[in-house]
Amino acid sequence: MTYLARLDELRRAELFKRARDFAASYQPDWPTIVILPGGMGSRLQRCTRPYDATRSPPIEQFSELWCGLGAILNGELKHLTQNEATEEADHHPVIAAGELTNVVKSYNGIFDHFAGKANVIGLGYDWRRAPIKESGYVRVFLQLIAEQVKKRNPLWPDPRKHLTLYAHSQGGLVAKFFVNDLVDTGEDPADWFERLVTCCTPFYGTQSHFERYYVGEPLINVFTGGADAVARIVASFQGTYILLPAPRDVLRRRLAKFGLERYPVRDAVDERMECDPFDASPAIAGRLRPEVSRANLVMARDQFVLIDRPLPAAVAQRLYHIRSDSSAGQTSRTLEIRWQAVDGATYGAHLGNPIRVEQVLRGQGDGTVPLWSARLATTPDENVFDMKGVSHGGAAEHPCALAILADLMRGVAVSHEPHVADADFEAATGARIAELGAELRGLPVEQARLRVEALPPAEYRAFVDRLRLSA
Amino acid sequence: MIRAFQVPVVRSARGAVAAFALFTALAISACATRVFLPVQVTEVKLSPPYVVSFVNQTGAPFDVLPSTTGRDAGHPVARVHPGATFKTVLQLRRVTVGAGSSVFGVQIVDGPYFEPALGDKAEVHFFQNEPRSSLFALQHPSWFSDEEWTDETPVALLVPVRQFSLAPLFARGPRGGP
Repeated sequence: MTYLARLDELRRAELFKRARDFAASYQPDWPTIVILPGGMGSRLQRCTRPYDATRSPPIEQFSELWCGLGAILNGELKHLTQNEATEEADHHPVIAAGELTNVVKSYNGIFDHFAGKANVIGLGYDWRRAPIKESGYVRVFLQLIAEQVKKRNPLWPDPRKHLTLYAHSQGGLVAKFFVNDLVDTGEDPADWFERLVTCCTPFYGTQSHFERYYVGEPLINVFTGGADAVARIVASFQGTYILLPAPRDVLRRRLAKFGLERYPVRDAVDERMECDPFDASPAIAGRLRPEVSRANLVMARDQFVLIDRPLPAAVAQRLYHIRSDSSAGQTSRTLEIRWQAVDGATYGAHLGNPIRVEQVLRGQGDGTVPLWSARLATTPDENVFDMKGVSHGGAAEHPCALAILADLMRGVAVSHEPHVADADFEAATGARIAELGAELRGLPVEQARLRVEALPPAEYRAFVDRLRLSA
Repeated sequence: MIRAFQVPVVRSARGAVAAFALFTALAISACATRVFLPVQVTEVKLSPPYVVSFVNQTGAPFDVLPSTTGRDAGHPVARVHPGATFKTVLQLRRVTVGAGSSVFGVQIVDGPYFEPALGDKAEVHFFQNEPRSSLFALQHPSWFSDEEWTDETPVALLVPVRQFSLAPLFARGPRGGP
C-alpha cells in the first residue's frame, strides 16, 4: 500500500469517528451546520509511528501538531513539511481532525450561537493540500453523516436536506470544488446541502500569503528555525499556493465586475508593470525563491480557472458570500500589492519583505482578503452581504456574520446595507507579540505553555489570534 | 518525545533535577494530547481492469510521468507526440473504513501512471513546457459497472487530451468523461 493510500484510510477513519459522534447527539428537528474552517483553521494530528508499507495496524496513535502549543514551542511544526509527492517529508502521516479547538478557538462562537438551535459539526481538512483534492472529503463526510444518522434512527429524514455548509476563508475554496464536482457528475446539489455560505473566502487570492514565501510567518518563525526555514516549509505545501493573488488571465475578465481598473499585483518601482505571480517568464519567476515549486504554482493556477468557473443558475442561487471590510475610512475598492524585483536565487529573509500592501493603496478588505476577492464573480449580487469592521481571523464567529447566517437559514430577508460591527476581536500588536515571543523562547516548553495559558483572557485571545491563519 | 532523549548528559545534581523536570514536563504535555484512532478497513469490490488511452490532441508533444509506485517499479517517462496514443492500465478497488460503514473510498490496485491524490481522486502527471496534471474522480460509480469482465478483456477508455484541465474525469457519465 502506498503512503497516500494509507493516509487516505486514516483520514476516513477520523471522519467516520467524527460523523458517529455527531450522530449520537443529533437532533432531527434542528437544521445542521457543517463548518469548513479557514486555512490553518483545521487541527492537524501527526501519527506517532512512521508509515510502514508492510503494516496497517487497526489502531493508530496521534499527537497534536497544529495547533498544539507544546508542538509549536518545541519547534515541531517542521513536521508539516511535505515532499514533492505531497507526502509528509518525515513519513509520519498527518491527518486533519476537525476545526481548531485548542489554543486557537476561532469557531467556538458558532457552536455557542447555535447551541440548542442547530446541529453543528466541523469538518477538518488538510489546508496544506490542494483544495480541489480535499473537496473529496466533503462528499465523504456528508455521506458519513447521513449514514450514521440513519443508523441511529432509520425513520429520521436525511440531514443533508436541511444542511448549511458554512465555510470560512480557504474552506470556501474546498466547498466550491465540491459543488463543481456535483455539477460535473450530474448530481443534484439539493441532495447534498441546502445552501453554502462562505465567509471571507479568497476566491481570487489573498493579500497576505504572498510574503510567507519570503519571510515566513512572524510568530511561527520564532520557534521553527527562523524566517527562511518557515518560508521553505510553506513552499512545500501544494495547497496554499492558491492563496496567492489570482493569475492575470483569470482576474482580467473580472476586473470590471469587481470595480478594479487594472490587475492588482504590480512592480514595486514601475507600477505600470503587471506582476502575475504565476508568470513563468524569467523577469517574474526569477523573483521567487528556488524552493517555490513551479509544479505547485501550475496546480494553483489551474485551480483558479475552476474556482472562477460559473455554476448553473439554479446552483449559483444556493451560494451566499459574506465579505468584510475592516479598513478604517477606506472607500476605494482597489487594493493593490506591490512586488519588489528581488533576485530569488540569492534572496534571504534578512533582506526584508519584498511584498508591500501600502497604506495608501489599501482598499477595502478584511486585512487578509480584499473585498473584491471574497465573492465569486458569477454569484448573484443579491446573495452577497457585506460586513463593516470585522477582521478576517474571527469573522466566521463574529456576531455580524452569525446573524446573517442565522437569517439565511431561517429564510429571513437579509439587508444588503453593510452590517456594521459594534466591536471586533482584538489582535495583539506586533511589538507585543515580539515581546512575548522573546519571553517564551527563554522558557522550558511546559513553563512557556503555562505562561501563555495564564494570560488574561482578553490578551490570550489577542495573542493567539495572531496564530490564526490569515486565510 | 524524541526531544526528551536528546537532553545532553547531565553532570551535576542541579542539572539532573532540571533535566528530570523538563523530561517530566515534556512527557506530561505530550501524553495529554495523544489520541487513538481505530482504522477498520474492509475491501468490498474490484473494478474492471481498464486500459486508458491518452490521445495527444494538444498539437505539441508531452510526457506522461509514472507515479511514485510506477517509477519504483521501473516504468519510464513516456513521450507522446501529437496524434499519438499512450496506453496504460488502471484497476481500482472500493474499500470501506469504519465499523459497519458502507460509505466507500477508492484505492488504486494497479495503475503505474496514476498517483493516489486523496479524496477519491487520482492524478496523472504530464509535462509540456511545465508540469501539468489531470485528475480522475474515482468515487464516480461508472468505474464500478456491473458489466462482465475478465482480466483478459479489459475495458478500453479513451482520453483525448486537448488541453490540460484539473476538472476531474470519470469513466462514463453526463459529461462524457474520458
